[in-house]
Order: sequence, then C-alpha cells, then structure tokens
Amino acid sequence: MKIKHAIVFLALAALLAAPLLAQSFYTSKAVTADEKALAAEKRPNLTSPQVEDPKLVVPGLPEKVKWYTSKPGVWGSARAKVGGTYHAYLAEFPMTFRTLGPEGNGSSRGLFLSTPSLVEVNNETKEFVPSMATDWAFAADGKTVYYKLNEKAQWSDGKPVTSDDYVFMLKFMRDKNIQDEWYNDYFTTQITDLKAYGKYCISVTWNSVSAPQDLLLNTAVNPRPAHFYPDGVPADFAESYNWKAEPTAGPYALADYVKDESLTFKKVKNWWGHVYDYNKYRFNVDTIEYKVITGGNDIVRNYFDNGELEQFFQIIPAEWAKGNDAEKYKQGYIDRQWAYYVPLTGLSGIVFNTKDPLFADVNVRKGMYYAINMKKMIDTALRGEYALYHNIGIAHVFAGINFDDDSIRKPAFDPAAAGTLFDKAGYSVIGSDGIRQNAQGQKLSFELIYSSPNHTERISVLKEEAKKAGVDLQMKLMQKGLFGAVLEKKYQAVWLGMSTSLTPDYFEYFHSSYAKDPQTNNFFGYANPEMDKLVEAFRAGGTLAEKAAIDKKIQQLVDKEALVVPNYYVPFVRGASWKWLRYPKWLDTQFDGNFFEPLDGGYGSYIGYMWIDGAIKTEVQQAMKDKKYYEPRIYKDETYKAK
Amino acid sequence: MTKRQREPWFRLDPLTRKRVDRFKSIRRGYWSLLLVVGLIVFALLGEIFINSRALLVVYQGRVTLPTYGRVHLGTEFGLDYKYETNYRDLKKKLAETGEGFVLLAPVPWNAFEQDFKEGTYPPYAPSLSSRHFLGTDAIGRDILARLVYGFRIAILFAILYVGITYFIGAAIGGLMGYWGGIFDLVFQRIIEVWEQVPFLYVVMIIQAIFRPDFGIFLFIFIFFGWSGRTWTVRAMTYRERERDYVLAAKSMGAGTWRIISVHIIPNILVVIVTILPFSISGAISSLTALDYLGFGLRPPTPSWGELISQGLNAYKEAPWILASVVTAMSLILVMITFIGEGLRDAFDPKKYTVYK
Repeated sequence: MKIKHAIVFLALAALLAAPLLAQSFYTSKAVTADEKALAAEKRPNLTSPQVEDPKLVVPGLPEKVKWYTSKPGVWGSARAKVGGTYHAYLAEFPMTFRTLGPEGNGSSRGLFLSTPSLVEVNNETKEFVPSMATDWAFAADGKTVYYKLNEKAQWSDGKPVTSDDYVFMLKFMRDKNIQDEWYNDYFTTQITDLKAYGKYCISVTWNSVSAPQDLLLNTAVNPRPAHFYPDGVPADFAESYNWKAEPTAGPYALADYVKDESLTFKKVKNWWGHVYDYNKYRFNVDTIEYKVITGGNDIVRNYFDNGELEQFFQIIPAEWAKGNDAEKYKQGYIDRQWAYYVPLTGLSGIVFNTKDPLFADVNVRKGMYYAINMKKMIDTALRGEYALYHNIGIAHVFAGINFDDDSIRKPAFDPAAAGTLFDKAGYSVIGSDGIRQNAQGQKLSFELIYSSPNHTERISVLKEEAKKAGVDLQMKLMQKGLFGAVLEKKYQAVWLGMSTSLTPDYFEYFHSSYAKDPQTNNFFGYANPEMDKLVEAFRAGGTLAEKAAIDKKIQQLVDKEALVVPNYYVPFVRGASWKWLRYPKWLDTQFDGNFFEPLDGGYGSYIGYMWIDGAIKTEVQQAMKDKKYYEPRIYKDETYKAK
Repeated sequence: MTKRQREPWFRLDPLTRKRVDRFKSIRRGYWSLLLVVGLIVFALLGEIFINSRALLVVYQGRVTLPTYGRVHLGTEFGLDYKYETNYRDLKKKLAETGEGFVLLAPVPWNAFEQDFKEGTYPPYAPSLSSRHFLGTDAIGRDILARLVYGFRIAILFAILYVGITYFIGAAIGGLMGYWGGIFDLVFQRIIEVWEQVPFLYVVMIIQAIFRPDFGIFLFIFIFFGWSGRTWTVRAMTYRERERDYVLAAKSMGAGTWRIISVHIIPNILVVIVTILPFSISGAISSLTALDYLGFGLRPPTPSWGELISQGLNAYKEAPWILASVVTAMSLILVMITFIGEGLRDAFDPKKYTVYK
C-alpha cells in the first residue's frame, strides 16, 4: 500500500514540476503577432523585365522612338510599420557635406548623394527599374537615350525636379569651380551631351555606340538642384558650400548635425518615391541618427550591446561565434540575421608574377592548384563558412545574361598530383627538409606577400599544407607598400583581391601591351597573343551576349594558364539586430548583400526595407527590466546558398 | 712520499666562493636559477619532449631515429605519400599491422601543424586524450608546443642580445673610462646622439619595410641597443683606474687591453652580473611586445607576443590561450627577477669590500 502511494505521489509531483523544469521562454503579444505574420510571408516576385510602353507620347522629339519601362511589383514586407529612430554609426565625421571637390570623396558621401538615378539596377535580376524617369527610349544613333522624367519627383524642400535640373547638372559637372577634375573629365569625354525637350523629357548621350543595356547603365545620371545654386557655381564653391547639404530627391534629408559627433537624417514628408510599388513598405523609419564612434570594432560592439546601436555586423566567423555565447543574444533580446547571396566578386586569391623565373613555368603554376589547400584553410581558419572560389569572377549577371563561366572548377588539394606537375617542371628531387629541388639545387620556394594581419592565420594554414607537396611558402606581411610592389612587378606571388564592375573588362589585367610597364594592372606580366585577341574583341563591342561569351573564354584561358589560385568569397551577409528591428522574411535579394543598410546603397539595391516595431520595443524593454527571456532567434535565408 | 694532490681544474677565488655560498643561501634566488636553467635546457632539448616526429620507429626490423635529421617520407614506412610521415597515424597503423612500433614524444605535436577535427572548429580546449595539454590556438596549433618553442627563441634572443651588447658596451665603456680625454669626450657625444634614437620605433619601421629574420632582427637590436651598456662600465673603470693594483700593473709594463681585461673588468664584473638578469627580462619583454604588435619575428614563428595577441582576441571562447602564456610569462619574469635580486644581495659590496 505504502509503495503505491509513493508512486502516485511521485507521478503527481513530476506532473506538477514538469512545466517548471521544462524550458519556458517568455513571449509577448507584439512579438508573437509579428512572428506569426512572418511565418506566413512568401518571397515576392522581384523581377522587372523591360516592357514596351506604347501609351506614352512625348511631343517635340527630333525622332520617332519606342518607349520602354518595367513594372516591378511590391518588394517589401506588408508587416512593415512606420516610425521610430534608427541609430547607426560613422567611423569619422565627414570633412564636408559636398559630394565632390576637395575632400568630397569621404566614406559618408553616400548619405548626401541620396538623389536617385534616372533608372536603377534591380539587384535580383540586374534588370532595370524606373526611378527618376518612368520610361526610356533608345535613339537611332546608338549612343543616346531619351528619358521621360517622373513628373511627381520633388526635392526635399518641396520644389519639383525638372529637366532644368539635369541641364544644370551637366553645366555643374563641367564647371572648373567645383575643383574636381574627375567629374570635369567624365562629363565631357564620357557623357558627351545632355539635352532637354520640354519640362519633363531629356536625352543623355554616351561617348560610343554600345548595347542598349550598357547605354542605360552608363547614361542613368542624377540631377542636381539648380535652385540651390542660384548664381551658378561660385569661385569659392569648396568653402561656401562646405557645410551646406544639397536638397535631395531621396527619402532622407539632413535635418541636424553636431560637428564631429553626429548626423541626423529625417524622412522627407510624403516622399514622392512611394508612388512606385517597389518603394512601398520601404524607408519606414522616421529618423536615422549617425553617431561618430572611433576606436574600432570592439568599441562599436560595446555600443551595440548597450542598445545604443540598432544593428551590428558579424560577417567574420570569429565575430559570429562571439554571439553564440553572449548574454543578450541567449536571452533573446537580440535577434540575428543571416542571408546568403551571390556577391559580385572579381579577381581574388594568389596571383603569380609570370616574369619571375619560378612562375614562368606553367607546370609550376598548375602544380600550385594541387599544392595550395584552400579548403583546409577555410575549414580551420574560417570555420568552414566562406565559400571556395573557383574562378576569377562571380555574380557578373547583367540584363539577365551571365558573364561568368560558373562551370570552371579548381581541383582539390592533392600532393601526389602536384608532385607529378612539379616533376615535369624539373623539381623532382625531395630534399632533406622535405622541400622539392631541381637539378641545380634551387628550392621550390617562393615568397607570398599580403597586406592584412587578419590573414596571417589563414595563410599559415596554406604554408603548413604546402609542405606536403614539397613547396616552401614564405609569408611576408606588407601593411604598407604592397600594391606599390605589385604594380612595379617586384614580387613572386601576392594575396590579393580586386574590385570589379558588372560587365568585367579584362583588358587591363591581361593585355600584352601592359605586361612590361610598371603601374599597370597586368600584375601577372602576362603576354599571350591568344589572350590579346580575346580582350581586344571584348572592347570592340557587340551585343551583351557576344561580350559575355568572350568573357567566359577569357576566364577559361586564365584557368588553363593557372595565373591565379582563387581563394574564397563571402557568400553571405549576417549580423545581429535588437529584437524591435524587423526585416522581411526573405531578408535579401540574389546579388545584393545590403539589406542591413537603411539609406546608403542605391535604390535597386535591397536597402531600407527594415522597420522598427514600436510595440515590440516597449515589450522587449519591459522584459529586460523584468528579467524575462525570449527564445533566441536566428533568421536564416539559404535561397542563394551555393550548392 | 706524499701523494700529489690533484689540482682542481677550476679554483674559485675565496671571495667569489663566499659570494656563491651567500647566493645559494638565498633560497628564492637559488631555486629560481635552478628552475630557469632547467627550463632553458628543457627548451633547448624541446624536440625530444614536444615534437610531431617520433623518438623511435622500428619498421620491418629497421630502426629509425627521426627526431634530429632529415625528413622521412611516408614511403619509407610503407605509406603511400611522399611528404613527411605523420608519425601519430603511423603508430596507429603499425599497431594494427604489427610490422613494427612507434615511440612518440610525450607531446606528439609541433608548433606549426594545424590539428583539425571534422565537424568542430578550433580553438580546441585542453584535453588529455588528444594530448593537447594546454589546448590549441585559433587554427589548431598546440599551445604547449608554441609556448616552449617560443620561449626557446625568446631566451636565446635575450641571452645573445644581452651578451653581445654587454661585451661591446664593456669594451667601449672600459676604453672610455681608462683613456679618458678626447676619446671619452668624443664617444660620449656619439653615444648621447645614438641614445636619442627612439629605439622601438626604429625597430618597428625597419621591420615594416624589410621584414627581416632572426639574425637580422638581432643585429638591429644590437645596433641600436649597445650604447646604453657603456655608462656603468665607464663609471666603474674611472674609479678602478686610480687603484694601486692598476698602478702596479702599469709599472710592470702591462698594456691597455691587459689591464682592462685582466685587472679592471673582473673587479667590476660584479656590477654587470647583478644587472644582467634584469636586462634579460627586459629583452624578453621587448621581443614579446614587438611580436604582440606584429612587428616582431616573421609568422608563423611561435612567440609569446603572438599568443597574447590571439589570446586577447579569443579570451571568452578560449581562455586557455591567454591563461597559459600569461602564467608562463609571469613565472619566467618573476624567477629572473628573483635571480637578479639574489645576485644583488649576494654580491653586496658592503659585506666584502674594504675601502681605502
């Protein structure tokens, strides 16, 4: 009898205690409501193919044209709420509010250059979307594009944007008083002409005949507010306009600033841009406040942890790993977002100087494909998180055409295969230290220069693994002067990454005319008539499809000649945000990577779709006071993860 | 016939004998000296205790001692690759096939290789089973190995640096003190100018541009560091040269070098010996500081400064990195300080010198 009682008692106790023992997370109304709505969301149609617009008629044009437009749909999330203040940071206060002229090339100029372009490039498909212009048309001369301006466009001070502002812009850019030769040159030799046809139509002329999509990309200029320069550009433009922010046609205008401390931008009332569907549920916050925070990433992290910043990047594997154990993340007050995308990447990896006696032999270079263990480096030093790169380009997609040969693959680490190639090159003797030598006693040893101390660990792994193939990799950190040495072609191998453009032009890298001279981008010292024919053909022009085919051939030739051992590219953007900063479920678009940005990045980019949920903010702040913990959340989107 | 007592090959001066006994009686200093010397010897013989190479391999009846010597390719032991044998894997294989056996070093890791376990990422915590007794760093290199080999490099650097600079400094300082006059005047000015050169900054600049190796790095240190050693010797030489024994040696026809090296230096050696340990710990600290900043020896050379830098970066997720190097560094520097204090007390002139 007694045992039975005991068993029943224990069972009852377990039943009662179970809810206490089981992990119970706090939930609050607004959070739950939004999470439910998020689960039901579906990725929208983000395409925007070009379509004809037969209804549009613009009188007064010198020729008959066909108008085109595109009809992008709603890109944002219907869950979005308007309002709130977004706190961000700047590493330094700008030297000027001008966006050109002396000191006009600072890191925060994008905040002041927020007037949209005539058309924008959609970062999902690289098609075009209407922006300051609603329609575009191609002239018969193959160099000029007509643009029908959006009549609703307004500057932040209420004045309308008209063709006068574009004509003024050309005058402005050509004026010597802006003290910026780059713009003087560009808007004389590249953009050669800009004409107005009435109040809401202009034409922009490029310097050479190009494929239509290329023309659109190059002629989609931005206007300048003519009324802000009533007397033209004064001789003392640099000084008198140093702290005057131009009115913008974009969503946020400078409202206030404290010199060397902060910049405050406020949402333009009834911004005209919302007339487009793709700008719906976008630019939701009322105020963006940029605080100057110096001292590096660790200091910024502290501000973020204290709730003084809304969001914090955690792309580097070590940063992301820190978040796994940090208090406020485990308590669910800070959510994390991780979106895979295809980043526009150019040349990146170990570049060989073919003028160096060791690397003049293609067998040595090919052997390096097998002797450099990039995969193990990514696994040990980068937690396996970065993506192995196989080519000299990725994400070069434009107007729906792919310029990269994505089928190129580099072989896996294989000391035996490397050995066969090194034997062919004459390095067949394995010395007493395990390093290969040739008959003259020269070792298979080279110096790899690199410029970032962050990369020391990564390259150390490569050095150790290369020993297995009999290669001695010497590491040399050159924090200053690396690029100088490369341009002078005074190096053997360099760890390097170069920026790229949408439709890569490889002339500067591989044409033989640049092979001997210093100060050219042909770091390889490479000269090959077959390559010359290809890069010259690309520059000669043609349709986008033809150019894409040439680029692919160039990439294949570079692969065959083993000029580069590609390293990695970063296939995602990720970070942490306070729980009241919400994002669409799909987070980002295919070629973007900018979804954390509230303002700076271009309007075809996926910036500004986040919002601050005031109700959630109140609930989370109360939960922090009451020490109630939410379930930690990581929002991950793997739609564009490389297979 | 009396048996001729064998002359001891090395007889200590009774004064020195007293000092040595006094030093031995300062337990703290004496034991520190024994321990530090022991650690230096241990570090010099590091390859026997901490090494990825096996101590002994018996394969198909053939005995190989791979520790010191050339690289033994895997093909020599029946493996199918032509690079250095992985003796840990060989041990497992031979245990299965029975073709021989492998005796590994107590810590079977070297300071450069990356240990990577599929599925988890470094840094790995200390573990007896993997024989990473102090864990690994951010790319899987054994901490104990990097600590000991880093210590070896640092102490060799410090001893060479201090030894050579004191040698040069004593020679020049002795000459300055003995000759005096124009020589002293000129050299004083030279040294004053030389000392104004901001030592660490110059080393950093030269490092950033040229990235030299151990030998050239040592040379730069010596080139800019010898001038500070001259002052003490110069001052002491000035005092000693007025002594009777110097006069006596001069009157017997002894030349400058003989007087300085045979008569004066031994008498002022005491002073030099007492500051030696502090100079050594200073040199170790300087090298560690430069390595921490990234201006020291070329990576991936093991060094304490580099370990501190890594340890600070990862102190939350891998506290063993910082804990190991800070403990080791504190212990070594404290022991060297004890030795210095012991020497200073032992050679206290108040006990043994008589002023006339």
